[in-house]
Amino acid sequence: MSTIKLLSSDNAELAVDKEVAERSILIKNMLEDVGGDMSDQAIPIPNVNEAVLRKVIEWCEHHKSDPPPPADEDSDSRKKSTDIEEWDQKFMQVDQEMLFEIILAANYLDIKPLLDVGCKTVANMIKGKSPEEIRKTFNIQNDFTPEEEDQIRRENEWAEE
Amino acid sequence: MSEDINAISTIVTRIDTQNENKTIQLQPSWILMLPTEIHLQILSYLTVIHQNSVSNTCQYFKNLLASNALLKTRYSLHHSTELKYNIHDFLTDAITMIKSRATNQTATSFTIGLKTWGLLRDVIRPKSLNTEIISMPQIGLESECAFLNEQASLVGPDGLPIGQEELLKNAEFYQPIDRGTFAEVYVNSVWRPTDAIRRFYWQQLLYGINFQGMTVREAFELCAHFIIQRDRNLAHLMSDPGEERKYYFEFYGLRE
Repeated sequence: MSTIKLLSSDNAELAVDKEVAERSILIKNMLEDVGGDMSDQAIPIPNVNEAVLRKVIEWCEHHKSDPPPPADEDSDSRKKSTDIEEWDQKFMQVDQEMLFEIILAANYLDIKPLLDVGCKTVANMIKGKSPEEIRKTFNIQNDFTPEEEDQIRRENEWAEE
Repeated sequence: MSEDINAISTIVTRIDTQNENKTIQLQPSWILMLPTEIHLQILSYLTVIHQNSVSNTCQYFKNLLASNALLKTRYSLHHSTELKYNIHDFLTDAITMIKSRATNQTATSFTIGLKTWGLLRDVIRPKSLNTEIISMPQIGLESECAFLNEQASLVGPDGLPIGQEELLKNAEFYQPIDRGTFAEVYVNSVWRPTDAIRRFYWQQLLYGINFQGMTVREAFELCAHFIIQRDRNLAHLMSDPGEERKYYFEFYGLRE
C-alpha cells in the first residue's frame, strides 16, 4: 500500500496511507491531477494545523473501508437524523475549538461524512436548550436591543409556559 | 484559520469582567466562525422548535433563519433543479395516505388548504386564533377527482393535475400573502364509512418560512415540500423524547 505525505499549516509532515488520505475528495482530486505519484513530495494542507490534521487522519483511518457517500447531495441518509455511531461520538468528544476546527477541516478537505458527523454533533449540543443556554454553550453574544428582546419574549410566550 | 479567528473581533464574548481595571479575557464564539453553509447544515438537523431557539440567540441567526436560505438548502429536490415541491407531488402523497386510512370507504370530498399565522403561539393556543384562512374549494366526488386515481393522475403544464386546473385556479389561490411566517398545510378528506360522516385530517405546522411577496400557490408549494420531507422522517422523530414527540403527537394529524 503506497504512502503519501501531508504538510500541515504549521509545517508538520505526516505520512498517511494513500487509501486513507483519499477519503478527502480534495486530496483524491489532487493526486489524480498529478497522476497519483506524490511519493517524494508532501501535499500542502495550508488551512489545517498538525493537531487537527492528525484528528482528521484518525477519523479517515477508522472509516477507510466505509462505502463512499451518496453522490446525491440531498440523500435522506445525509439529512435529518442526528444519530451518530458510537465511535464517532467518542471521536467528537473534544473541546469546542477542536470540534469546530475539525468541521472546518472536513469542509476544506471535502470529507462529507466527517462534516456530517461534526454538524450533527453541534446540532445535538443545541437540542433541548433555551436561547440563553445556547448562548452560554457557544459564547454567543446577545446583540438584540431591549425592544427586540421584548418582541422575542412576546412571540415565544408559548414556550415558557 | 487562526488568522480568521483573530480577524473576527465582533464575535467574542467577554467572560471575565469581574475586575475591569485588570485583565479582560476574551473567548471566541467558535460556532459563529463557521461559514454560513455549515450553519445551514447544522440548522437542517434541528426541528423547527430548536431552530426557533437558535434564531433567538443573536441577530445573525435571527436573520439567517428569517431568510429562505435554510429552506433552499434543506429542501432542494432530488430529481429536479427546481426548489418547489410540485403541488401534484404533494397531492399524490396526501392521497396515498388518505387511501390507506379510507380503504373500502367512499371519499365524498377532498379539500386542501393553507393557513398562515404571524405568531407561533397562535397555533399552540388554537382557541385564541386570529387566523387568515385560505382554503381551496372542495374538489368534488371521488369519481370527479382525477388525482384520486393514480392512472389518471397526470400533471398539467402548470403542475396541477390535469382536469383540475380550473377548479384550483380561483382568485384566492393567486393572491399575494402579506404577512405571516408560520403556516399550517392541511389536507382534509371527508368520507362516509357507515352512516356517519367521518373526517380525516392530515396536517402539519411549519415555521420559519417568509411568505411575504409569494402568492398563496407559491407558499403552498413550499409548504407542501416541507411537510412531505418531515413526514418521511416521522419514524425518527417519534423516537425522540421531549418536545418533538409531544409536538408530533399533538399536531401530526391522523384525527378522526
